[in-house]
Amino acid sequence: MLMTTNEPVNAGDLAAREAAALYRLMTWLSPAFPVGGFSYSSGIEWAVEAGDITDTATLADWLDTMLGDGSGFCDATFLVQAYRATEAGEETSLRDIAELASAFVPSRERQLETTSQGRAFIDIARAAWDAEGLDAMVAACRTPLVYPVAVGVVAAMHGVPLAPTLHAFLHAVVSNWISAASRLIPLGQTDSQRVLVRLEAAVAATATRALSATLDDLGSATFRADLASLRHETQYTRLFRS
Amino acid sequence: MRSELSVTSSIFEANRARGAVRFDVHARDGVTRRGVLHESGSLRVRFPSPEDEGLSGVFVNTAGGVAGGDRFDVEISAADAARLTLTTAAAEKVYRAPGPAAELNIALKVGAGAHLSWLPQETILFDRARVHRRFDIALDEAASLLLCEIVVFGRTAMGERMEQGEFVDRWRLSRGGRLVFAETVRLGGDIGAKLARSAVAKGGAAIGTALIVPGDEALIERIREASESFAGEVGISAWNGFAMARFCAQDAARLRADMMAVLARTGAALPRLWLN
Repeated sequence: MLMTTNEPVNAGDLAAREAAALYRLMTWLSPAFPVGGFSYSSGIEWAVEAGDITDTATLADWLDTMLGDGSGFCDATFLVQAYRATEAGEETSLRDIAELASAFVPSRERQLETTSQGRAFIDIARAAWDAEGLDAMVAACRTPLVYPVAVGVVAAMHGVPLAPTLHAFLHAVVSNWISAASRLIPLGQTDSQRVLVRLEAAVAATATRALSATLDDLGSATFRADLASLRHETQYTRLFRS
Repeated sequence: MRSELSVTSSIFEANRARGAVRFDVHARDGVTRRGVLHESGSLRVRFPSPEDEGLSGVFVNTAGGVAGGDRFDVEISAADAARLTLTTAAAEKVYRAPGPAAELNIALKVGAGAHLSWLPQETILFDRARVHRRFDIALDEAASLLLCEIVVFGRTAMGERMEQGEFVDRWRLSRGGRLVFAETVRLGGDIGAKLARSAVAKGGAAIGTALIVPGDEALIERIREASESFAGEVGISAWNGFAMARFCAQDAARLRADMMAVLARTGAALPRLWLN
């Protein structure tokens, strides 16, 4: 039987459950899902301008740092915390997580990036991928949901398991970074895939850390990646909004 | 063997410094006065003769630095319309720590129409230093704040670098009861190798932050006019009602020069100790 979208994934037999979870994750975290990810570079455009990212090696190193010691790990942690609070129906904790996540940005453009993608994600979920109780959970946050929090809340309301959700989210984030870079430096399609291959282990390690982290474990040290997103504001010619 | 070890560790524990400073300031007839001052341990605050309007305080750490296991607590409140400037008598040195990390907790509260300038000299982390710092800042919607912080990884002037250790710096800033900025910097383990990475510091050894509330586009435009003179990297932005400048430089001297260039554009009066 085909499930309607407001039916949680954990109904039905195992195969149907896994199929529905995979179907939804591949949709929500696909570059075709219209949250506008293509217009943001998370400061990568400035890093290219400044000569910090010039080829596959420098790109992979920059992204590896952003994953493990920067917004990758922090956003993963926010997704996990938001998912668990939603699953447990803990509205007050979810509100605190949403508020912290929305203040936890290093620049105006990063705030725009995560807030507008989060808003779009929730709007599309409501319109096309609704789940019972989603509206009430979003309203309980009383603050606009940033992207990782929005993904965590929607996945939990759909009963899509946490670990694959987190993995798919980090894959989407990393793919979007690579895609942005490939429009700025001479990077062939095969090169882009090679960077994705090089980051596979880092994505897995970041997801594993985030699954056992609490909000007290949050932390980043990407000073120059943060500077890049600040300095991008005054970059003379730009393709991206961040 | 075991008892010997525990004796050593209890002596170590007893030798750790504790320090606390707690006070509030109030404005009456346009003059800012200090309320009751609570000081304990090796942390002291002195109030030299007024430089300008408002009250100025200078922190003195009589222990001469911060070592592992030390704990310092600072709690300051500027009531409505009060004006307070705080600095430190010297750069704060955080020494190599074999045991537990040092803890520095700073809580600042600023009322309506009140202003706080928090302008300490830099914090220098020695190799193998371990420190956990925490800033909790609560501003009234109509309060103003100028805060700057510089952290140096090693005594760069002596050619030293921090290679190992731990630095956790947790910042939470709320305005009118709403959290507007939150960040936790976390560097641990092989810090030297991390600082070398391009997205971290590309070999730089000093970072800094200037936070200005309220702050808007007009203010950051003025600050950006200083861009030509910067010796290190500086990023400037404004969102959520505050302005922020972030710095990364090869050493403390360059970072300090850039910080002063930014502060000059904000029209802030720098403490005399800064100009030495």
